[in-house]
Amino acid sequence: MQGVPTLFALATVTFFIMRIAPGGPFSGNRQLPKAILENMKRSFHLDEPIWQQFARFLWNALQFDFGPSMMYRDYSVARLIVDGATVSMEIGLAAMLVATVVGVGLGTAGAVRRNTSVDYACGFVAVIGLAVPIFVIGPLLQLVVGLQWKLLPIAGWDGTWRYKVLPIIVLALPNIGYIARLMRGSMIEVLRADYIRTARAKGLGARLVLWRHAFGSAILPVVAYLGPATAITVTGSVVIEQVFQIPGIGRYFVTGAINRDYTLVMGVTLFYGTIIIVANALTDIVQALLDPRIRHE
Amino acid sequence: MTETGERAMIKSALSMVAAALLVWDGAGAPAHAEEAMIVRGSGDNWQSLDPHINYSAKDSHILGDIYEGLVGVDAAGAPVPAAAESWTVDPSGLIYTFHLREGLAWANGSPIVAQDFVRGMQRLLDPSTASYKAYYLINAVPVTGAGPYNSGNVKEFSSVGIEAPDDRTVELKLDRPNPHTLELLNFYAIVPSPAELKSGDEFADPGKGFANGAYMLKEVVPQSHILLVKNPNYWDAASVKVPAIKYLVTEDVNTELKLYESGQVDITNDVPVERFKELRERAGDALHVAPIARVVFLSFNVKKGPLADRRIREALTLAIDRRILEEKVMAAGDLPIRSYVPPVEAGYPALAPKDLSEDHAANVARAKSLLDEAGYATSNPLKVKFDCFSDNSWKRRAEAIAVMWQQTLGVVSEMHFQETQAHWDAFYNYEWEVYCDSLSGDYAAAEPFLVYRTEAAGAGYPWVNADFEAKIATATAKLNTDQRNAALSEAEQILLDDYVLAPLSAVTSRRLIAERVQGWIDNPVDYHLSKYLSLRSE
Amino acid sequence: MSDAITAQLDQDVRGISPLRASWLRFSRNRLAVASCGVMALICLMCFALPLCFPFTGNDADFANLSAPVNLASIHPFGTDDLGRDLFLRTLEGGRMSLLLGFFGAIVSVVVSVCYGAVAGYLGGKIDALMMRTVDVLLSTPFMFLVILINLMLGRTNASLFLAVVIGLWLTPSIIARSQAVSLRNREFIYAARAGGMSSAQIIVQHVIPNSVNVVIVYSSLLVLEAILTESFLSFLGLGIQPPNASWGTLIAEGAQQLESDPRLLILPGAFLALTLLSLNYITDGLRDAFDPNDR
Repeated sequence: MQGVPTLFALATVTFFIMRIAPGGPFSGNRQLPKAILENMKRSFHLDEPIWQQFARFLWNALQFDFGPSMMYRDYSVARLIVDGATVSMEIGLAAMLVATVVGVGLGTAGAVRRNTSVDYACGFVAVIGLAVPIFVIGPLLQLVVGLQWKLLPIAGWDGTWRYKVLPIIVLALPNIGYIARLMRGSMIEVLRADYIRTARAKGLGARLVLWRHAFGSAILPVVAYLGPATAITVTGSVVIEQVFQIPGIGRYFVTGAINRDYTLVMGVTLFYGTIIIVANALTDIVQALLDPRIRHE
Repeated sequence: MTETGERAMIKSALSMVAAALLVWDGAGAPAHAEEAMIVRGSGDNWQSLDPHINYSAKDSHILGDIYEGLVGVDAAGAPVPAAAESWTVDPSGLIYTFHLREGLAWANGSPIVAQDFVRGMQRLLDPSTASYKAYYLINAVPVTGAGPYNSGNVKEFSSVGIEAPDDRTVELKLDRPNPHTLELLNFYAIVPSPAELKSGDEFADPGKGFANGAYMLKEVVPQSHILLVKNPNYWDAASVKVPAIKYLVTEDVNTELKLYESGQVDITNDVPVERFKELRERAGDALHVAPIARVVFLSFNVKKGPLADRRIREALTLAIDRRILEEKVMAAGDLPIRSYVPPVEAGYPALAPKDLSEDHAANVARAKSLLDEAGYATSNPLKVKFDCFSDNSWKRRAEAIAVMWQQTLGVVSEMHFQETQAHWDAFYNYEWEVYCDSLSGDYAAAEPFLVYRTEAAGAGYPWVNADFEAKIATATAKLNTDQRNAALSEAEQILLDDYVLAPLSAVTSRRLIAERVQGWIDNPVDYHLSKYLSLRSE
Repeated sequence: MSDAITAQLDQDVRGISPLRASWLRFSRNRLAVASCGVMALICLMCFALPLCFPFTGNDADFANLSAPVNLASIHPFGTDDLGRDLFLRTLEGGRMSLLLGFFGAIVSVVVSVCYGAVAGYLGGKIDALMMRTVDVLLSTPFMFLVILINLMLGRTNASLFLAVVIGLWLTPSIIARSQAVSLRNREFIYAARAGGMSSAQIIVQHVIPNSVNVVIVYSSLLVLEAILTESFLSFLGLGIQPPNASWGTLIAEGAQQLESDPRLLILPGAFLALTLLSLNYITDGLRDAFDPNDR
């Protein structure tokens, strides 16, 4: 419930910044006859005073009605969001799953074999995931896997798994980097903690200590990261969707803002906001479940 | 677990692996989903499938395949009979009478009568439709009474000069003659509208069957593709050769190229500018480059700042090496030009400003002395405010021009990059001194470019010239195209000699077209209906 | 998320360790020290080497468009398709990226420490409001903020810098706040208050100086993130604006010509990767060295 004021603030700020920004949805390099321009504005209520537009937006938003998109006129914003979000969520969740498994693995390996070549190698892999931009990795994979080896389609979307593999890998890579780094740091700390030393001193096997005692605590920062990161990933990635031609939701905010598609931007803003607030709430709950200390506070 | 259970598990696991392998193998197979289908890249997502709402030029192919007007285009872009089998124009050039073919029908089977065409044009002009392209029937084809009806001042459509005297006749009355009327009427927005249409989004619904062109919608997936199949009710269905056309959204031009190379796209929407040079060598005839009715230029602010001085405008125009700019720097197939009107009309001369010669060294020498005369030197360099689009190709072009000015004249450019919409709006602030500009003609001729510069067109350029206006008035009063063009070219010379703009390049369409696609003819209208295409039989 | 970090940090900052011990530990980490050397070398190249060229990275050489690699020529790594020297452009781009990275990090540290110190020291409603704002910003997608800033300020380098700082300062401000909270109840703060110092004076003279060192450990990570952020925004055309270049814009341009001229991608890409790797190892080294649990 405390998300509501946040959403309201987000919507208000976005609404007014969009209106204040130079350029409008119907700006063009051709000066239209005044009457035509006025007809277009009227059909989107842009001729009304701004406070009235804002009130109309709020009232309709409560009913999940954002009107038709100004750019993609055949569809309502709500329909575009629902269609796009389904696709983006599928790709995003899969990518986060891959990233978590690989990232946690790399991070743990690095922490256990700290300052050895294993650690450096893991660090290297993690940094490559971070450092090589996805707009380089994406086209590179298309080129090698799609065009030369002909293993997977280059781009497009028909709902089958073949079209999903490359985007998922590319989307997972930077997250692998972050998660590995977080995991390594927190694991090192946990392994130094007194209770782990005690456990070891009691003669428990290293592997047992690692998995039974250390892992649960060490993963906490990763969980904290996963919440917002998943939220951001499932709301779609402009780059991935553009490069792989995926009909997701990620491009809508950026193209909407660039085209001054007011209705689309507002719809997507509220959608993003909601997803992130929900994800944060979920993260808090999971953290509380994993870490008893938080519950006591 | 019992033994049989375990065995069943292994068995099913094995069959799953086998199935996976089969699917995997399938992935490597030739990529054409259906042999008898042409896949066309469409660039960004289409704007709308409502022909009266869409105003994006690149969607003309999709809409032209689905909807057909009275007049159509042939493969080379010239007007041909379409839904109307013939027409007559009265001697004054003011009344057009179209005779429809017999037995026209929508894809869903309902008959199409003359009243449907009137309804379509009424819908285009109706203020509540809020169509961007309404000006086609207001300014471009000056239909009697269209303007007042569109602005809502007149509510009665009967006052507009569009009528259907009987089921197979459509009559248009114009205020002034326009010899280019037929070229304008073949535009995809001037198409019939079904009587049972309730809202515009029904056009995008394959179930409704609102198509009267060679193809009809089968499947629409926003941000992914549109699948079209042959319209069995089309009057010319017998000559439509390819049973299905797929328009694929190809937002990323590099991805589109890879799709083309792997055979997943037959006709691309564009090619990556950065790869153009290499493709020209490698792709051979598959690369189609043809001038279209679009020109790119720099506008100068003749009212404010240093550029109010004509000598400076001339110097800046002369100091640009157009050949290097288009052929080496941009290298995207666009043609360097010295005129404002692009070379798209056969009977119209290629002009140039009086002192802009082909010899760049001479131009630079003259530019230097002009700037000297105007009182600028290296110690006192000219500074200009240079407003530009922030997209990559414009950025590149503007950067190169700024470097050329800097190297030859010591001019310091204060660059201001803005997003497309913001840049367009910034035009009307007149804060700029140099403005990256472009114009597309509504049809492939000199006239729309020059008429747009008159005061009456309301384009907002801070340059008004009585001689220019007089020449245009002379031109538009003539019925004969040659006489019109003679007067128009005199007007263009006035525009060029006053250096209100620096011509840069004539834009070309760039496409890769697979060898198996036949029947494509490059044309300046850049209108390519799929009905003229066929697949080479193998 | 903030809770976890807070909890962890309350632990971390229990005492202020002698810097020397930490630096000793750091200097024993050979990889980290080597990385410092590499960073120093890269900085030297980017800032000093361009001065040795007779032209700048923006000077187009129309006689030598897309010149190939020829180590003996005046353009050792060739030119791009505008005839600009690729190596020089990469160095100058690096200067831009590094400046953005370092200044972005410094400004973020300053802003976050001040913000965190005020919030943490004052506590109460002000603290709640300030940290709530941080939470809201943290829960807004970064792209969102960038686009909104762009809409407000236009597509300029200033809005890019602002976007980078806004993306960076949030997490360190939470760290700084928790340090400030723990400082609030320390004896020397009580003493200062008893001595008649105002809250503002205490914040400036005691809280801020004692919070900086906690955040500083994270600063190399901030440099890294600033550089990365810029390169990501470059793909969308929101990065450094021409005629200036950065590694990000060069890579984004090079990625377009991956197949035809990979050299355009590899040269700036190699510099960027090397820088990010070094910064990463330095961060790890700093973190290990300053980690109080290791004592």
